[in-house]
Amino acid sequence: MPERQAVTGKKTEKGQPPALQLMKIRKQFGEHEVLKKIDMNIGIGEVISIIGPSGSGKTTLIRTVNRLETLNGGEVVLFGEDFIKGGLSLNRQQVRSGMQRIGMVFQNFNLFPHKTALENIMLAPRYHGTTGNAELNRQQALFLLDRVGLLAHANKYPHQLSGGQQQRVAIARTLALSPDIILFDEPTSALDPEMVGEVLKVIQELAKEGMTLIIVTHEMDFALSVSDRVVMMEHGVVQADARPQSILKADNSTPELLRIREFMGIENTDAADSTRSEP
Amino acid sequence: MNLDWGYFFSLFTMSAFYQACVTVITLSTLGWFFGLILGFVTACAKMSTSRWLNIPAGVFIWFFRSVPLLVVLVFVYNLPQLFPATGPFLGVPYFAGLVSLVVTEAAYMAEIHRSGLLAVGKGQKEAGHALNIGFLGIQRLIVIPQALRISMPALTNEYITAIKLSSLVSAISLPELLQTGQRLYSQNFLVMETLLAVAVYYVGIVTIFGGALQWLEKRWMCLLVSQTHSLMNNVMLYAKTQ
Repeated sequence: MPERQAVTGKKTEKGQPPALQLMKIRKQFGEHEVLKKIDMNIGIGEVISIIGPSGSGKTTLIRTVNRLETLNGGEVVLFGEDFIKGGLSLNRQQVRSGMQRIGMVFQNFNLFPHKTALENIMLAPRYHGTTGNAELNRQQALFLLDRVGLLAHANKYPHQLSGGQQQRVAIARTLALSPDIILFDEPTSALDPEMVGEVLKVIQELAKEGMTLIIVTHEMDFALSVSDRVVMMEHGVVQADARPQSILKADNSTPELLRIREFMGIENTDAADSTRSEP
Repeated sequence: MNLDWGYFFSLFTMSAFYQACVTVITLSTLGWFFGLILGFVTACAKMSTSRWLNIPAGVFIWFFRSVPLLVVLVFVYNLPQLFPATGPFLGVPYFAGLVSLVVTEAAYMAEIHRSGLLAVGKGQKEAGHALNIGFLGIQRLIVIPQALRISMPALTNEYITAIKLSSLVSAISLPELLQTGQRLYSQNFLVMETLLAVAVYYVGIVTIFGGALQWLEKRWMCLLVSQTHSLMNNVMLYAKTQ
């Protein structure tokens, strides 16, 4: 893993395609249109937080990127290469190699209950044969467990770990395949409040190392502090897409950002005061 | 009422009964094992979205759960009348009994396996998918190991049922426990004593072999606990999000 940090810069360089391009993504569940032609570009090394009320389609959006949901329209381009096209089946090989570049961390961890923490991490690399022999795989898994601060719990089963620990194992399990992009689907929503911090810390470290992250979250402070951009979704459309600084500075000249401010619960800054004083 | 206890106890020194025990144990173990495998295949077929698979599987389960084992047994034993080529195999009571036991057990076990497979959370498959593991890999590494643990108590139950069902094979003159007893009491008319001994043999077999399976099941217990634990997690999660 560490060798990759050097390769991925914090911002997209000229001539490099974005990590992920979503073009006119449409998704319907029966009559209900969940995603209404979503467009989004995510640069390499960028950290995007997706926020929004329940049912706004944010989880569905990242699930389509990971092919956990099929598309009704639009396309997903991964590092400049076609990855998913609505209603079309692309080259299997291409899709598989694309999938390998995207990792996902789930709201309720989804660790394999019949495997220890270590085995959970070793399972996918062994299946794909990505880490040579079993001993190397074990070493890598131990390294990753150490990285999320759980080396002492390597041989415990998921039910012997707390929620926060389980989620950290799940992050390590995702890292084991060396993904270029990691999707987080409300990674702290199922945790007790005192465990949220330890998981956010691990995510924050990944962000610092230049990993491309897409995080669906309700942790507003975290979203503002860690993200390069905060995207707010509402009723299946992107309502706002802005840098945290712009959101914090928003005033009446940027009405679309006032809604995101309101949703995030930001109040009583100078900017807000100045909006009130204006006629 | 007087029971001939001397005769009763002498039945436990008779080698014919111990040979009959071996027949019962091998017949029911093989029947259970092959039924387990065939049942699993049937369960997968029934859960398939392809009609070419799920309809035949459904018919198989429906049919062999409806027909009594004794009927299947006599039918299979007499199949060589229709297909003489099967004679050397199905004409042998042991094999006719085994085949009947396997198809009947498979029909029941298919439903047990199906419930086990359905009980493995959707999130488990999604986690496998997110790790880019293919359909078969997900089944082999993630779903089946968990499903088997969930079904284990019900499968143990089926093993005990198989041991007792094997007594029906006496109808096609296989010298298993009941048949051995019947041969004795048809000569000496000591029906009660003989059947009492037969019952003791069955209880012994079920205790030892059923117990062994239960021991195996307990060794997996911590993982069964984790199943309920993750189920509880999901319930709590649901409560939280509502």
